[in-house]
Amino acid sequence: MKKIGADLVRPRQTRFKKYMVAYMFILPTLLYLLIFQLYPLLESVRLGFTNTSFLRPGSGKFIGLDNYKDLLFNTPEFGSIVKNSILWVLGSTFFQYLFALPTSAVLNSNIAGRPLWRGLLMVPWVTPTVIMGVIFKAIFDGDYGIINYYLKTNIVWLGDGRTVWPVLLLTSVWKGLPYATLMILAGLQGISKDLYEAAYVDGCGKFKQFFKITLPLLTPVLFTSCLVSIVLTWTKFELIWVLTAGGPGTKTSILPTYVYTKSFINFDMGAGSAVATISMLFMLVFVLLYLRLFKKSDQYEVS
Amino acid sequence: MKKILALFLSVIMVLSFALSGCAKKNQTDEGKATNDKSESTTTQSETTKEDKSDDKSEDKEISANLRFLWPGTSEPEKRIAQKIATTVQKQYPKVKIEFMELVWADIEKKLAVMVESKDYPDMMQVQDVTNAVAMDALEPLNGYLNDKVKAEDYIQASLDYMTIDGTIYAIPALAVIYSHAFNREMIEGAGYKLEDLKSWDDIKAAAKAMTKNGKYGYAMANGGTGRFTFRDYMMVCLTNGVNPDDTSEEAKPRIMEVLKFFYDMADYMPKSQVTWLYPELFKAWEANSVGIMHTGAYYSANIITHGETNFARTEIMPFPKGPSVDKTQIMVGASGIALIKGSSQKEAAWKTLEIIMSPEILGEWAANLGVCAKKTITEEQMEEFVKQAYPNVYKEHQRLISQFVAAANEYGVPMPKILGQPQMEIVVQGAFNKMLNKEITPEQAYEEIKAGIDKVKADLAG
Repeated sequence: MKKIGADLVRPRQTRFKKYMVAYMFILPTLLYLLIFQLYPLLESVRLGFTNTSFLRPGSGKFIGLDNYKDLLFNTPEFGSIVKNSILWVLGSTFFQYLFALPTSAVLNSNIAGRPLWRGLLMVPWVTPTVIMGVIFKAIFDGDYGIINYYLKTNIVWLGDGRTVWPVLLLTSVWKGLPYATLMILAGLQGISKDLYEAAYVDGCGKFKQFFKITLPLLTPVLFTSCLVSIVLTWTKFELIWVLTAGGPGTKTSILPTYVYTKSFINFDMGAGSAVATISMLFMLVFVLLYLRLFKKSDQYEVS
Repeated sequence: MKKILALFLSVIMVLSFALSGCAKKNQTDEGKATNDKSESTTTQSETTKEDKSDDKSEDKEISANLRFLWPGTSEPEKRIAQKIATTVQKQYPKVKIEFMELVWADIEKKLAVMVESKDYPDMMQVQDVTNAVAMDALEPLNGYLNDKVKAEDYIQASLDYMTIDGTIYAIPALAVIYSHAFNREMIEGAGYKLEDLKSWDDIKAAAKAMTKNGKYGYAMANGGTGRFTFRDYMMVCLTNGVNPDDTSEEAKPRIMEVLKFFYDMADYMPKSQVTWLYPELFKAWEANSVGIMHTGAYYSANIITHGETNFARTEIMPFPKGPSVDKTQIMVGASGIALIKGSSQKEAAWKTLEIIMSPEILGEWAANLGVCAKKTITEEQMEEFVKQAYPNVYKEHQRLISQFVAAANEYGVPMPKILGQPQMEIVVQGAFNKMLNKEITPEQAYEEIKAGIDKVKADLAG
């Protein structure tokens, strides 16, 4: 006798059997994501609702939104840290792409020694971030830095409120430029030369070609790589830490450095986790807005 | 066939992933299991102490793999670590030591993470025990003291620094005497004599006279996370008879005097000090461009990498007394060795500590890095080590150490133990840099520091 519902069950079993090998291949990655990504994420959110402090044995009680209230209403520097974070991310990404566009155009042209230039461009990318930070710290040193030496100035670049952010952004742009350039270069190489030839025949100048062909066809690449750059910059903790340690005080702190300060200098894991959660939510909203704003421009066409 | 092969491969991947994950866990489980036995191990070690057995064959049976948090990344410190490992292994062949080398700024972070994850190290070098005790990370050592390690053998101020409520949490190895270094050449060049500097006003006048042609009367290391800004602040606060974390109304006048003093001194300090840490400060000192700075008995070890010309012109003196007191004070801390409460190898760790406190090791260590906290180790025992460490300037080094010791004998007080000091350091650094930049007044700096310190205290009170 045929069991009720057997037909409904069997296809699923069959489907599982059919794709079992694929599932097995996915399993390690899935386990990795669950154990090393999802679990810490959820644990961090949980800790944000507790008063966990390494300096108070027995702490870890649920305190609801107290950490968040404290950050938002009782921590005067928190607002400026959020502003710093936005400046850091938008400034870095904007300038990276501003410089990457002409750089990639040059590297896409037939300049002499092109492979060499392309190789050299990768140097900042492959240099460890901490090493980059140390080098830039030496370059912009207020006493012995080569910038002051050549400019014959006496500016404390990393200690003056007017110059510290431009230097931090310059360092970030230096580090991020190769990635942006490489992405755009790949996009440029994917554009058919026929389009330019046809435009040339139609009497289209270089300037118009750039805005009517190059830029629209680069949009998908720019869209994706900008998003990756934003996320990478948001979490680029070590560069600021090496250059200024987020100081003086919290003057150059961004949310990731503040997470570190709260968690591993103050040992206040509850508050540190709350900052991390706010940082994550901030990024999430930012990415959603970005997707919503720029998704439409993804529907490009060459006019 | 392909499917079977794919299935086989995927199973291998999953297994390797799982096993690699388990590798650490096994170790942790093992650690946990042994940690569960830690109490009985302690008891066992206590029994052993009671027996006071000198049976060498029994000693040779002690087996352990000790993990030692070692904040010593300079060459002499690495050499000392190596010597400790070799000496311990000679005496206890089955005891191996893994030195986990870190910088001082990171040691508490490492300890906190290891203790919290129950992956306990066995020993550590420690300065301020306050935070580590608050973490419940350190083993009380009173019950371990014996003929080889006696409390009365150590400089009292250093031992006090390692003691909280009568419980000794670490055995001091080095007495860290904090005092100010004075550049005799610059001070005399500005028309002053060292003995003339008897008040803060004298310091201001001398600093003003010294500040010219790229040279500065006073310098601080105000970069990083504020560790050295706070130290400077704390040292000058003590010379005015007040603790830096005292935010009471009674303490306010004294704190205000300190802040006003620094505010007045701002014009005689280099602007670039906002990014300095010790290396930059000592570099400037060696370059003969700073007249006065704070330092500690670690002076020689820190400055030697920048050069040796500074030794002859450097004098160590207590900073003059502030306007509110009759006598100045300098703080005496310590750097010592602690055992970790959660360790399951405390017996071997204590045996190692006993060896570290021997003249052969502690003598060399102190000869390289400052003042020995163990009174029974004589200068003669250390002399050869000093000559090895500072071959060209060993006499100058000994002169400076004598000045540190003389200052401590007359004006030394135990260094204040402040719970939450790292948090307060950031607060003080932020306010100080604004004040020294003349962005805020001393009154505003006081309010900012008071609010910040009170918040840290409230947070720690839960």
